Amino acid sequence: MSYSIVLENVRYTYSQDLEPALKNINLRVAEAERVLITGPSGSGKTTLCRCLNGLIPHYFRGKLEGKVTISGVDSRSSTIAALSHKVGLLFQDPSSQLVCPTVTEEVAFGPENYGVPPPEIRSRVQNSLRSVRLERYGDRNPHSLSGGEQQSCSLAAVVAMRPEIYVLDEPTSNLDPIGSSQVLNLLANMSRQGRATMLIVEHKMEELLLMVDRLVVMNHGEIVLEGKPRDLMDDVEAMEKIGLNIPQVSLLASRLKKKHPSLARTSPITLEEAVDAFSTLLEPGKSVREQLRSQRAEAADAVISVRGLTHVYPNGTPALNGVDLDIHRGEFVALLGQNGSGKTTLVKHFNGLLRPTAGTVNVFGMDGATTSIPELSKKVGYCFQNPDHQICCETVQKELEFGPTNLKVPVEVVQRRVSEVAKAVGLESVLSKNPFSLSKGERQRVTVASLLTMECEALIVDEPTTGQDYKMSREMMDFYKKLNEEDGRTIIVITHDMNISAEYAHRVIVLKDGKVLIDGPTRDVFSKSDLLKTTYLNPPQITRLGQALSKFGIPGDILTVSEMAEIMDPLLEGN
Amino acid sequence: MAFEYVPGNTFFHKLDPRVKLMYWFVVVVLTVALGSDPIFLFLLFLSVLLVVHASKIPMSRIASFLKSVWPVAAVYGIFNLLFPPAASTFKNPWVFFYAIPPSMLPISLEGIVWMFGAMLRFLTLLLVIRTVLMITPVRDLILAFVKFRVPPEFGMALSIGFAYVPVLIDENQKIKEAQQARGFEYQYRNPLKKFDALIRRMLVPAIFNSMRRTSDISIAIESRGFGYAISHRTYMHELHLTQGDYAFLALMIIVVVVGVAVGNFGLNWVTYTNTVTLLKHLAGRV
Repeated sequence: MSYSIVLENVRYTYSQDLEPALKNINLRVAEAERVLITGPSGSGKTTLCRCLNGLIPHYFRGKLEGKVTISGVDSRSSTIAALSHKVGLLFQDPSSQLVCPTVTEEVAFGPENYGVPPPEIRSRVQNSLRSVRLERYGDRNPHSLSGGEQQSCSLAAVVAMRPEIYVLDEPTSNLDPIGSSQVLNLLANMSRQGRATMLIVEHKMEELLLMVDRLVVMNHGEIVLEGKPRDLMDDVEAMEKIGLNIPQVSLLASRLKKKHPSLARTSPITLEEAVDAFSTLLEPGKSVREQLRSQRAEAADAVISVRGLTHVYPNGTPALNGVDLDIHRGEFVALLGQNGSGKTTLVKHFNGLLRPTAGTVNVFGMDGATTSIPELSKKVGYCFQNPDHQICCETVQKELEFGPTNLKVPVEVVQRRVSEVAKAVGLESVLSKNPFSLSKGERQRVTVASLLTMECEALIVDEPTTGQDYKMSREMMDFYKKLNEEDGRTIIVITHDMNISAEYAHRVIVLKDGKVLIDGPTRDVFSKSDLLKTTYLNPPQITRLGQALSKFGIPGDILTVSEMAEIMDPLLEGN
Repeated sequence: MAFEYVPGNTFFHKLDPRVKLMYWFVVVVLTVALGSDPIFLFLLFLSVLLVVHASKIPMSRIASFLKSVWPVAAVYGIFNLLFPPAASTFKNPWVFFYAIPPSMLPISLEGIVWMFGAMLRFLTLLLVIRTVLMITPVRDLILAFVKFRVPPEFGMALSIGFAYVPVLIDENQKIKEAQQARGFEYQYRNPLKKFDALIRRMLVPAIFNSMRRTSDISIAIESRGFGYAISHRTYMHELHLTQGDYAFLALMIIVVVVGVAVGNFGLNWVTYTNTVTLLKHLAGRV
């Protein structure tokens, strides 16, 4: 068998680190094989990708031990440009890999570098753009496209280079659900055509497991599990312990298996497989359960009231069209919708960053049209998606002082708040450090902490889990949950993650084309699959499983795997 | 936006980018050669407007562009009125009054004519570069540079610069909003305070983000093979001179030769003194 990629005893240490980022890596990828690599952040996935096209050892400084062989060539004796001819690398963040002023030039860039004759380049550009459905966007600036289109353009640019090996480093993790499914469809197509070797790094396994031949799990710089996806999904305990985002149906089957031997041979990796498997195990109409109801009553008073809110941007783009809603004190709200549906535009009215074109916004008794931003931000804190857009001071201490000082809070009070918040958020030890030197997770906590020192009563959080791994997402959300439950703060989270919304939010608001599509308790919203589908959103996999199994008495508004396990447990008892 | 390509299919759009750069060069040479005569400079300015018109670029865009550079041109003009570099050559100037009485900084007919010449030169130079950029996509500009033996790395840098304009605008907006959301105000009356606010609060995050992005971009372009046998790099679009290009080029050469000849070498027909003499004749003061 001939191998595209051979890594032998690879160990790599970045020059600024003491601990190796990769250790003891032995991996052979056969020609045309498709491998999915997963693992928590910091487990060495990206470092591994960098070894494959020579960025390590030729760009990054550090110590590489062992041997990396790409299509028979030792990476040490080659160059990045030469290796990239064989290995096409797609990165996580589309905006940092698009370097040309138009889409056409972007796609032509790679072939041009390798001296491909111009007529050939033109035909490759045309084919690549057609394959990612961007042929009409040739003259646009790639940065003016949507996230999904940007990543499609990056993918087309890699495809046009005709590499033997594709290495895709979290290609969908910065995208909204539509963008994500666009890119996943493209990958599925490529995988079906099946000539190229593919190595995909992703946190989200759900959509990819069927597409690949092998699953590799990394943790702490090492390969800890490896095998056919179905075999690994048979027992997910080890992966659960690492904190991976395991498909909910696999998790469910694995949990039920312990008590019910009848499931011993069931290890579904997709929703369809799970529906088939459970349909044979359950009896129709055995017990019909009522819909679940553990809804939180909306007793509290409204702190933010929006009536007939319309916003049109100065360039004429309509972003909101007649939005009505009330946010109540102490609510935990998830705001869902595709990019461009108006989520960010809506919440920017809550602290005055935007003013209504028509309609009214009332924020804690203040008029959102006329009250100054500083006045509104005393009550409503806004945490931006990228902490690096928000951090602006030399030390963490100053960063935490920044907000209250702007609001003219007396110095002693500021100092007291800073030390309290730093303690609560776990930033005490880094107060004197430069925030830019901290890890991304810490920087994110700094930004939240810098809002908490303003003692705002409501907190808007813009995509806190985008680009984060499962475990970090959980930690972030647990933190907001604590702020909500213990301190009674109102939390509004903008997110694309349905599982997270299902688990944490009391209430879900879905926007579509600048209007409220659905607004209600989380359970009610996710039970309306058909309505969600009109804006290309899907309820969590476990909810959809319940809906598919309704004739067996499973309710259609289950939100978590634990709930489903509890309900299925007695139903399986009889068999 | 300062660099905005206006798509079109006109004669001027279709010219080879090298010929467009040549046209720009010719106009620059002419502004220098005819540098002080407002009448000829006005005709030159009109000729550039003619090119704008023939390229079907909406005049409203040119108007708003001229409006935005007008204050600078005005300051430049006033400076030239008060301190005309040609003052020593004014023969028997017609002085209207003195800016500082009784006898300092004379405002004369010669000075005013000189001022108009200077302003028209300034505006023509800006207008022509703007026009050339409006009818030339960045891609063509880079190709032309490459043909003129500018290293491909320079073309790449230019390309990245253009590609990231929307990203930088968006990023600065976000940084500003993130700070406003924490009660920070940019509306200081005191310009020093405003400057300090901008530098300290905008620049720190902006620089940090750019630095990290620089590294990301260099990884991205190396991973797409930039630098692989760079002298053998190809370009998807090739440049070919057409008959139209040759014709326009020939016209440009004639114009520049004649212009330089009458303007400078020996002949010196075209100077501000023509206009001054003309105006004095009209006023009956010879």
